[in-house]
Amino acid sequence: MDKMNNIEENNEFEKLQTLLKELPKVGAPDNFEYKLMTRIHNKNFEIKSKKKKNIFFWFYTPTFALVASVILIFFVFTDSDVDSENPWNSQPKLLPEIQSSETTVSSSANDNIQADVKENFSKSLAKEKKATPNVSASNQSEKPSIQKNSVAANTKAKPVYPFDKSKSVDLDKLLTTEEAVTAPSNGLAQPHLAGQGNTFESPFSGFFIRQREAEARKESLRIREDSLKQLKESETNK
Amino acid sequence: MTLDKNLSSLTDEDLIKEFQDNNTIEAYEILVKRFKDPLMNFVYRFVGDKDVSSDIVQDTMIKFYLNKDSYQSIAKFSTWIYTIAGNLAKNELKRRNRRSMLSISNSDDDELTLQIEDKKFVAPDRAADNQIKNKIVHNALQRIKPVYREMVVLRDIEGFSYEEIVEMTGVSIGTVKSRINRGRAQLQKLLKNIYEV
Repeated sequence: MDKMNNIEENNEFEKLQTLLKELPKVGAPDNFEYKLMTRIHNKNFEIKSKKKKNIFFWFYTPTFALVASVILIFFVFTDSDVDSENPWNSQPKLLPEIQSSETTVSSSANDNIQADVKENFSKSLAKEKKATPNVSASNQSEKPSIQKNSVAANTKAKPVYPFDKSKSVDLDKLLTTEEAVTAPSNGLAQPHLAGQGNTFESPFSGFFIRQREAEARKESLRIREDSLKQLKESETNK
Repeated sequence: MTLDKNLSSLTDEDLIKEFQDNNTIEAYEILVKRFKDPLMNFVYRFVGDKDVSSDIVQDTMIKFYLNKDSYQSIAKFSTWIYTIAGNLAKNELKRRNRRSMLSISNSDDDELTLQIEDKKFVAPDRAADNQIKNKIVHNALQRIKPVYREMVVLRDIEGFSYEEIVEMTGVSIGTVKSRINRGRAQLQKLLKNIYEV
């Protein structure tokens, strides 16, 4: 029965089988053996048709996905607390507007600094007046005089430094302001550098003289020696 | 020279034994010469690409060189080496299937593949040329499912017996026969225009 089925099948596909058998035989390339033997001699046994799987990539895929989703949530769905100006949506400012805003900011900062300097300077002057009432007029004429409303003093934008304003003075400003020229009438008030923290409460007291101390000690030793001598003499006399 | 002559007269099984026992490279070379063309033909009809087929046959020979001791004399050498080549060819096809995202032949439904009209087929009156006819047959062969194609190629192109195919593929004889028949039936449907010539 099986044989009969096979015969029937063969008859059914006879034409197909002949078609398939008529297909031309495909041979290996001419340099096939040469390539093969070269590979064997070079011990190049890497299987070309078997490419390595990138296990590393697949292993870290969930991690990459998680990180990407966290970044997405953080940057896209979170409301930012600061209302930052979007440079792409806002109109650019004109140059004159920017310059005017800068000058107002810098002038207000300058005013603050100048007020502090003036206050400190007047305090120090009052102290100095108490200490030395005589004034030397010659010092006043040596200092340079600058006009109050000079263009350079008003329009220059000066930076604000993070120093303690009560203890520091901007030397340039001090020299250019009017008070620096007119106020120290006694000639003793000296401007001091900003950032040094030097005030009039702790003036320099001079170097310690060690020689005096040595003399005093010498004197005490001499007295001691004399007394001992006297004691010896009195004992010998006895 | 005399050694080569003597070796050339040996059977495949004797040559592999010589290569296994004495590591005679000449025996290996003779076996390569004998099987490179049949293997190339088999892999080409199975995979459908000459360059890839050449690489697969090279890899088959390399595997044969490296794993010569895994061959046991109870089986025919030809079935052993065809098994290696067939496995490598299947791996290549699997890799291709993974790559091709828009493949329509991945479906398990056999009829679905056959329902698609093959517009590439040339009309019978223009298919007189043998070259064109061979091309059509080859293309039709590539369109059937790989499991059927392997059986059809082994049986109808390479001319192996059912028992040898069973040994190569590791499936039962019933499965081999049914797959061959299904493959033939699919091919016949695809090539019905050729039959009418």
